[in-house]
Amino acid sequence: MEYKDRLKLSKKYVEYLSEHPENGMGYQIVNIELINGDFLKNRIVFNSEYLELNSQLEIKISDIKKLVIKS
Amino acid sequence: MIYKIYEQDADTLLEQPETGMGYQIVRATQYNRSSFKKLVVYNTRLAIDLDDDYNVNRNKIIREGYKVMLSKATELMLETDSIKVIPHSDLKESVELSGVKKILFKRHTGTSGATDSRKENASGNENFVRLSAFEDDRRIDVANKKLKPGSFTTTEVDYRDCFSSNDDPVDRYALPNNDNIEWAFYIRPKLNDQLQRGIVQPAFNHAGGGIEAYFENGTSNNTYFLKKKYGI
Repeated sequence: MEYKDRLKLSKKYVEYLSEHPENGMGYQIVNIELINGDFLKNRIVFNSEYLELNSQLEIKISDIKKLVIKS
Repeated sequence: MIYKIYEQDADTLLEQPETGMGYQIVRATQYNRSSFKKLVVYNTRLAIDLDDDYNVNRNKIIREGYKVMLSKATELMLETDSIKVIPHSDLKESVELSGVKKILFKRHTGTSGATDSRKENASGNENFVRLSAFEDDRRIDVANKKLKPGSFTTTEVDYRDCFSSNDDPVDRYALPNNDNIEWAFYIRPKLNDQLQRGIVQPAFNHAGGGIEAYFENGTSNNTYFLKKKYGI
């Protein structure tokens, strides 16, 4: 499945998210630290593998330094 | 109550769009009266009051058939100028109509989501269903046939209420993505599996009101038993 408004996460993030709890049926809320020092808070990931993007946010996998489940 | 809409009012309804497939939700004043009625009208002629007896009356129609009920129903005349069909999109937005949604789509009220509720042991003979847009849903451990820890489902009963009432699962379960729900994964937890049960709270501009179950520790092996297309 291809989505223009979502970023398919790499295997390490998918595996990490698959082993952590959901926030609701089919989604998790994450915080992301980017390589440029920016933080993205409360972002949604579907099926532990698709990060939802918005019109202001265009990032690549290589921009992500760290991704953690929001506690 | 169940009514037969007066023929000229049915003609008025025919000129207006449906609220959903085969029905209109109508707000109108009864002829020569001042109070409003809220009705679900099928095929512009057969109407049910949208009140607490709605499901009982709807089941009567299902059992006895549309034609039989139409022949028995009391005729209802409306003030033509007062007739307003509520579009489906308005059901979400209006506080007044959120109550309508609850009755029409058998939704539930309550302020406790699953993770706010006490833990209970599964009965061993109740089915739960995980709904997903993804055939390879990652919370299903296919190798061990179980649900992974920290996963949500709904109950099979609530799932069937959702699709039999033609409800929108994205709104009912307050999901953040608008992808169509395509798959239903059936799970029957064993006696030693624990769950928490609650009502889906409003989120992401969706009303919620479905039942949700949360399995903090997942389920035992060989509890996932079936994958089907949604609504089948």
